[in-house]
Formats: sequence, C-alpha cells, structure tokens
Amino acid sequence: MTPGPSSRRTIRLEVNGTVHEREVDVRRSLGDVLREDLDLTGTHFGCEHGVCGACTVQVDGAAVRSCIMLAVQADGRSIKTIEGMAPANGALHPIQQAFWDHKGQQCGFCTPAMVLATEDFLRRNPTPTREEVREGMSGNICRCTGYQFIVDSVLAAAEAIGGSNGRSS
Amino acid sequence: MAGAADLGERRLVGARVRHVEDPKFLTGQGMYTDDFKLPGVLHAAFVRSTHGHARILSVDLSAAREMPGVVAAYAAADIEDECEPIKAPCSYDTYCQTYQDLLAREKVRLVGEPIAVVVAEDRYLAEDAADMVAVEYEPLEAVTSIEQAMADGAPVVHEAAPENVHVWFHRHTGDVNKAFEEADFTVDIELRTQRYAAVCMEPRACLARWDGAVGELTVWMSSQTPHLFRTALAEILGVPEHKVRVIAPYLGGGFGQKTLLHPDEALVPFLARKLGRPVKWTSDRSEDLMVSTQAREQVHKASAAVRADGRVLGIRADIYADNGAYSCWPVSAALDMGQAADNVTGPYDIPNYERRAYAVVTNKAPMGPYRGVGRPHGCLTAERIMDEVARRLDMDPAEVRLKNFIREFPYVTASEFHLESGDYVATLQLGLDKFGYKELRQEHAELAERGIYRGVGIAFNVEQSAHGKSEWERKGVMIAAGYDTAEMRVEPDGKVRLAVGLHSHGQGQETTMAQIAADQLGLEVEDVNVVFGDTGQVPYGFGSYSSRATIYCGGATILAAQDIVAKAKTIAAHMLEANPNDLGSGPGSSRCAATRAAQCSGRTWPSWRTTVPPSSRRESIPGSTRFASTWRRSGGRSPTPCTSSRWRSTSKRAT
Amino acid sequence: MKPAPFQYWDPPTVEDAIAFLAEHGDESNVLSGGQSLVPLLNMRLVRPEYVVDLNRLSELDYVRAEGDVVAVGALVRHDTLMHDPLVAERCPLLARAIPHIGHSAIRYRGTAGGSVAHADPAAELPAVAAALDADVVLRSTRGTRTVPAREFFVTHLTTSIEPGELLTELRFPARATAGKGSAVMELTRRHGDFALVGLAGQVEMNSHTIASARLCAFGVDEVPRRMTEVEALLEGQAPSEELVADAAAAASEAVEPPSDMHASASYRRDMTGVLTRRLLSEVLKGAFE
Repeated sequence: MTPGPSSRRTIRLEVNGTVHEREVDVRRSLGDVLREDLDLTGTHFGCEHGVCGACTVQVDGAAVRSCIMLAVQADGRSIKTIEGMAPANGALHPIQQAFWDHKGQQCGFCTPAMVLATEDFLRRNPTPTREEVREGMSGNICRCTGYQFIVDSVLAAAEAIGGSNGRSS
Repeated sequence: MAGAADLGERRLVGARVRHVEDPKFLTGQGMYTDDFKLPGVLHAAFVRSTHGHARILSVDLSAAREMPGVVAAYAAADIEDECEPIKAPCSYDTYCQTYQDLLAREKVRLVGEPIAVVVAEDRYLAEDAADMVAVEYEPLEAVTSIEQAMADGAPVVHEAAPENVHVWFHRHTGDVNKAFEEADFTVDIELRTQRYAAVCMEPRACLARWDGAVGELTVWMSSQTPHLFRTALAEILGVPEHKVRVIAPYLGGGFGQKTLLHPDEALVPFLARKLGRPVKWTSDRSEDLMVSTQAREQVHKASAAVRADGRVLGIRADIYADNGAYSCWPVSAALDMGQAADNVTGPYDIPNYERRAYAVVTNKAPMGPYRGVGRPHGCLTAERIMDEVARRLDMDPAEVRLKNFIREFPYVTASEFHLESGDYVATLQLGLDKFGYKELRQEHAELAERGIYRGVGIAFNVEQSAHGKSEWERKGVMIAAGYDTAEMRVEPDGKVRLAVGLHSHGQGQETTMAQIAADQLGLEVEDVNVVFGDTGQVPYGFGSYSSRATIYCGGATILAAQDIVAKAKTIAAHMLEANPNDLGSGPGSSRCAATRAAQCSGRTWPSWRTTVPPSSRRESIPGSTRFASTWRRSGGRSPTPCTSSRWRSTSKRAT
Repeated sequence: MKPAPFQYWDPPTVEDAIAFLAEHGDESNVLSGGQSLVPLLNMRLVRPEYVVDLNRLSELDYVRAEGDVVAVGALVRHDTLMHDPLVAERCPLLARAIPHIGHSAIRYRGTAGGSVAHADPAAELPAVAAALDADVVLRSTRGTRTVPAREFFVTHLTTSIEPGELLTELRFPARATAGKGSAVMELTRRHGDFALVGLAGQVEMNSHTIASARLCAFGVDEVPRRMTEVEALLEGQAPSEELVADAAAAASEAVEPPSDMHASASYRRDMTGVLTRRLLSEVLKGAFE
C-alpha cells in the first residue's frame, strides 16, 4: 500500500536475472541506479534528456531510455543491461559477434545501447531491409562510425539470428 | 640464408584483423572516466555564468554551504592563492598572453564559464546547492561576431588583448602585387563557416585522488593526451610532475576536443587535494554544449589574380577565426587560423601568396582543434577559387585544377610545406574516371535544359598530418614535439607488453600496434598487450590527434622491436655458441627465439637456421630464460641424426 | 543534469489521483510516459513539489469503440496505438501518425494522454486530435468535462486543463466509411526529430468528389493549425492536379509560421505548401480524373 508522496522509496529491480532491493531517492533515474548502486557501468549517459539513446536498456523486453525513466518507475520490473546480454558461458551473443565481425564500434560508448536496441529492433522486424535498419535504429546516435558498419552489423545479426530471407534494400 | 628474413615481414599488417579491444566495448566492460569509483568520493557541480560578458559583483555561497550533503563551496576568491590559471603559450610576438582562471575572477567572458563550485556527497545534492549560489552580475555588452569584435569602440573582452585579437600574422611569399598587375582578371570570394561542437558521446569527466601522505595526485580524466595534461596539472597545482599520475581510460570520443585542458576539469584535482577526499565531476550535455571547445567558425576573404588561360598567379587572403573568449591550452589560438591560412594554396602551384590571419576574441566558447582544425577551410577557399575561375572562364572546373596543379616535385609551397612527391594530375584524373565525371557533367547539362539543376563538386586536398616539431613551431605551438614513444618488454612467457604514448579511443590502436609488433617479432596479435593512457605506465608521449599515432608510435614500435630482436640474437648466439650474424629464422618458422624464452611446456619451439656444428647444445641462461632450439645445417644438407635427436630430446625436456 | 528534489506518488486509482490533484495540483506535475516530462525535470526546467505518476492507473489503459467514437484511455502507449486493430480500422489517421513520434524507445513509454496534455506545437497527436475534431475528457473532483480539440490547445505547451484536472480519455470521431484516405507527413532533419513542419490529413470521397477534407498542420503555429481555408477549397471538388496545386498554394498563404533556429518562417511557409501537395497527391491517388 502506498501511503502517499515520499522522497524516498524502496524498490525491487530484477536486473539481468538477479533481484535487487534498494532504497532510493525518488528523483534518481533508472540509469543512475544501475550505474551507481548496482555497479553496472556498461549503460552510459550521453545526454540525460532522452535524445542520444546511449543509455538504452531493456525493461520487460522493450528498449527504454534509462536516463528518462525514474528508478521508482522500474519497481517490480525486469531489466536487461548490456552486462546481461552475453550468454553465461562467456561467448558473445550473436548481435555482439556481428558487431565485432563488421566493426560496428569504435570508441564503444554508444555500443552497449546499440546492441540492446538491435535486439529490440530485430524482435520487431526480424528481416529488415537496409532502409528499415537505418530508420529503426535512428534513435541511437553514434559520433564515431558514420553508421554504415552499424547497419552492416545489424543486418548480419539478423541473418545470424536466423531471420534473413534474402531481402535487400 | 642467414638473416631475420621472416621477422618484419608483413603478415598481420595489411590483413583483415578483428579489433582485440572490441569485445570489451560490446560487453560493457570498457571503462570510461565516470565508470571509475573510489571510496569516499565527493561530487562537484559548477555554478556557471548566465551572461556572455559581465563583471562579477558578488558571489554568495552561504546558502549553498548550508545545503544537505555539501562539503564545500568555493568561488575564485577562496582559491586564488592555491592554484594557477591555465595559460596557453604561443611564440608569436603578436600574441596577447591571456589567462583562464579555473573559477572566473571579476569577469565572465562566456555563457557557462565556471564561477563557483559546490562539492557534495552526490551529484544531485551538489546541483541542489549550486542552485542556491547567488551571483550578482553587471552585464557588459557581449561581443558576438568577428566584425563587432574588430570594430572601433568594441567592448574589450581581455584587457591584455585590447583590440580583441588573441594573435595575428601577416606573411607575404613571392610577389603578390606583381601577380595582380599581371593578372587578366581577379576573383573575389568571401566564405563563412559556422561554429561546430565536437559533441563526443562521452562528455568530459575527471576523477581525482590526492594521497597526502606522499603528496601524490592520481587523476582519471577524459583526455587524448594524458602526459600533456599531467604537465599542465603539475604546473597549475604546483605539484612536481613525477608526483602526478594521469590515467586516461577509454574515451567516448575525442576528436581533438579532449586534447585541450578546460578549467572545470582542471579544478577537480585541486578540490581533491584541498578536501582530502576523492572528487569526481562529469560534464552533463548542457555544460558540454556551452563550454567545451568549439570549432571552425571562420571567415575567409580571398582574392585571386588570374590569367586569361585560367592560371592562378597569386592569392591574397584575410583569414579570421572567431576564437571565442580564451586561447586554448596547449596549442593556443594561433593553430586554427594558422592551419587555415597555410592551406589556402592547396595542391596548386601558386608561389605568390599574401595572407593576414587573425584569431579574434569574442564572448563565445573557446575555439579548439577539432577534426581537420582549420584545414578544411583552407581547402574550401582554394577549391572555391578554382570553381570561380572556372565559372568566369566557362571552363570545366576539373580543367582549371589540372592547369594549376603542382607538377614538379619536390615542391615547397608558399606556406613552406615541403611536398616531396606526388602526382596530383594523375590522381585527379583517376578520380574523375572512377567517378564518371565526364558522363555526369553531360547528364547535368541535359537536365539543366529541362530546368533541373544538378551539380558535382571537386575538392582536392593534400592533407597534413602527424605534424613534426618544425610544423608546430611554425604554428607558434610551444608544447609539442615531433616524436613519440614505444616501450617494449618481453615477458617471461614470451608475450610482449608494449607501452605506447598514443591514446586509443576508437582508432583501434590496441590492435594496430599489436599487428605491427607481432609482425616484427613473429608473434600473433593476441600475444602483444598494448598499454596506453596511463602516465604511470607509459613513458612521456604526446597522445593521439591529427593522425599521428600510427606513424609515430608505430614507427617507435618497429624500432623497439628491432632492438628486441638484436638483443634476442645476442642471447641466442650466446646460448648456441654462435655468431649473432649467423642467426636467422628459417622458412616456415616465424617465431623469434627471444620471445620463446620461457620455462614452459607444450610449446612449439622455434627453429633456427645456423651453420653451427651439431655439437651445440641447449644451455640455461641466468634469469630463468631458457631456449630450446632446433637447428639444421644450412646449404640444403639434411639434418644429421645427431641434431634430430637433440631436438627431440630438447622438446621432451621442454614438455 | 539531475532533477530538483520532489516527492513522488503513484496513486492506485483515478479517484486517488484527482483527489490529490485537487489539493496539490498547482505544485504537481503529472507523469505518464515521462518522455517529455523527465527531460524537463532533469534540466530543472520544471521543479514541481510533487510528481504524480499515473502508471498504476490501468483503468486508463484501453482502446474501445463506443458507437461512432474510438475512445483511447490516457495511458495508452504510442506503441500500443500503432498496432491496435481497432485504431487501424476505424481511425487510420491516428495509426499513421504514431510512427512519426520519436523512436521506438519513446513510443514504448510515451502515452496518448501525455502527448496531448503536453501540447508541443510540433507534435503529431495534438494535430491528429485537431484534424479529427476529437474531444478531450478531463476529470477532477468537480466532475468530468469534455473539451473539443479546437478549444483545448491554448498556446504552445499550454492547454485548457485546469488545476486539479486530469486528462483521462481522448475520443476520436471514427465513422467507418469507405473511400477514406489519410496520411501524416513531416519535414524533419532526422527521422524522429520534432517536425519543422508537419501535416495530418484525411480525405473522404463520395463517388467523384471530395466529400470532406480535414487537414491540420503542426510546427507552424503555437497550436495545431487546422487548415480550414484549404479544406473549404477542396470540399465538393473533383480531384485534379490543378486542385492540389491550388490547395498547396492556399496552404502556404494561410500559415504564419515562426522563425527560429531550426527554420525560417519563409521556409516553413514554403514547406507547408510542399507537404500539402504531397499529402493530397498521396491520399487522392487513383482518384484523379
């Protein structure tokens, strides 16, 4: 039962399969709690106002900008960060492998978000054309690569995950 | 035949190699400055000017200091005796030396300039307290354009630069006046390029720890040039340089902006020392867009003296860089305008060139080098002149360029670039062919008749990069060098630790340097551990910018590897009782004996081709390096049973 | 860029929410998707005492047909609307607007009610609401009232929501008719940016002529700009290239857009005409004689 407004709240977050209970200031962003309280620093802040996408995580399976979601709003939810992407055996997820093979990263700062956004995108559209990749991934900004190799990586990931039917743009 | 024929052979360089550092980024394990945590760390937030130009009448920190979680709040008056301002040097005698205080004293000169800093238990609380700082301003007229800055009676931004010019020069090469006399016509252009922001995905950040017991400072910061930043911080804080360690971990982009020391990040180590606790500050995007160095805002006014056949005889150019409020450290305000001015003649044979270049003071964020610095502007001016000539003479723009290209090498340009070799004519022609230029122009002519206007542009550039010391000196830069370092160490397991003075933040140097080293030593990329970014682990280097790293550190790596191989040969020769000059690596064996020196098992041991008689035997060497080697007679003779067994026994012993 | 302190509450029912807002509405910001509000909080551009989070109000998460109306609860996510079959069938203009809203991550969180209540002049849903003469339902402890879209948007980022009121529902007239064509077009630098100029348009044909036209431009004024001049020109006419050209010219004439750092007034004016021509050509495709 919620007693009414408060400045602090105890929340339970399931992150990458582990449940964490924390008492947090209600104004803290989900991204901040992940980075500071749970030491999951793979999620990065590029703008803190929902524009660049570098803070992308998945909440209940959907890509979300963790800089503009309050941590208290994630109470009871299931969250995946980049640290939860690779399978437990130490191999890379096919999306990560595709990005590696196709040089979809340079400085790496936008990369965790790209990987999580790719997974979300390919769930919605498993057999995208090049144009659809460009549009579907346009919420994630990269300042290094010029995007071409990121598009290549996403298409390669689509194929690796098994969605490709030979469509091309 | 004897000789290290396989070592140094291109095997990995030129091959398609996946970057060894990428899995770290892909799994979120790459650490950027804000990711580092220290126990007891405090967080800083800045109070920043809301005016572009104003006198500071008062700063009231009393309410801020009472806020929850606040440990300290400072304005300039609280710290002025304890740290130096940032002082960007420049060797030009027209340079007006100005200073950038870490916290603004008396005056602010750009929106966002730090006036006060609050340090608290977390960033939220620090920002709450920063909100409570009251600043009283006397607004002054802000200077927002080059024209306004240079007009009579303009507001003066720096007393030390009363004409609102950080620095300028006037140079005349050849005889421009004669060129204009001989010209059949002139072409005049005025070009304006807007301001750019680097917008690295990772805003600047700094985390500092002061160890009072030994007077040592450790600073993690988002820097492309950690050693240079170490030098700067040592001076600003009055700490001996060998007691300052700067660690530049991975950066989320640099692009040149992170070669420049900003007052906010420079203040963080000062706070750590003053408060005796680690302090962290990470720029948010608003701060970054306001105050991190910006780039490229220039105005070029150029005139070209042209002969009727399209030959440009001379150029006069006035180059103005809107340099903002401060001269950036370390390269100063002279760099952008200088690189622009020097590139106006481009790849063309124009020996008569007169130019005036000005770095103008305005109330904007300081200008700093960013991806191309002033060189794109020089190229733009050169190319636009060619296009204008083409338009005036109704000539093909490609033809005009071909007519004006430098054709004889070596050639010294009017800006003293020594072009040793080149074939610009062939390059352009190849480009035009591959691009289908002729067909496009034909197509465009036909479309134009139908009222559809399409165009194709040509930009031809000879890029200057990996600048040497003389180039820096010509640009007035006093903190730069024409070298870099590689320190190579073979570890007991035969792997290599390669410490290089560059910084890798997306350029893939952890792989590139490893490729170079591995080729030199007959290893694999995974065998070379590239270390960079930490002044405590890497000898003094100059970081990564202007495409210098592969050339400088790659070259240094090769030299270091050659030293290693020479040493290894000496050791091997001693062990084999052979002459070092007789040692080489045989075909099919690409392992360097030195790098196989180890106590280990299960390895493939190298083979050496020598002329040493089979009585040689394996020997132990002090220091726990052991060689096992197999050798054959040279000259095509087959191995004797004696040597074979020796090898077998050796390998048995080894496993 | 961290928010100023506030107190947070996520009421379990609408009754609880409006009771709270009756007392504290002046010092509260209502949070639904957060895609607009949380950036404002982060930048300290708003500093409410209370943030009232509506995300537990599942009673506001519905899409249903009520006669000639498609009723959309305030908490329906953009992504839900985009895929809802009822919306696709009965209110295609609404469905067509959603893909233009930001990016998928924004659409997963952003809500219909939030977007309309936020009233950004360059946003899509306010324009669709205005184009279709939708009604906005507001609830408070004083009762429920319904405000037509044309009265709801007062100026940029300002609506006629009064203190203590909560936007609970959007009601889109949605007569299922054959021969209806609709489209939303935007001019943006990048996909997902706020529109420099946007246009939401729906045209219904009877056998040979335009029975009704509804056009609403956004990004050209402080509120969604219903293009009644252009609609009047179109209605009753047989579609032709000439008609479309006249309509485009009329559209350019009619708007008085602002100049700002993103685009000049004259550019926006020109582009209004261009989008009008393109949109009408699109929805009238096949109908030209």
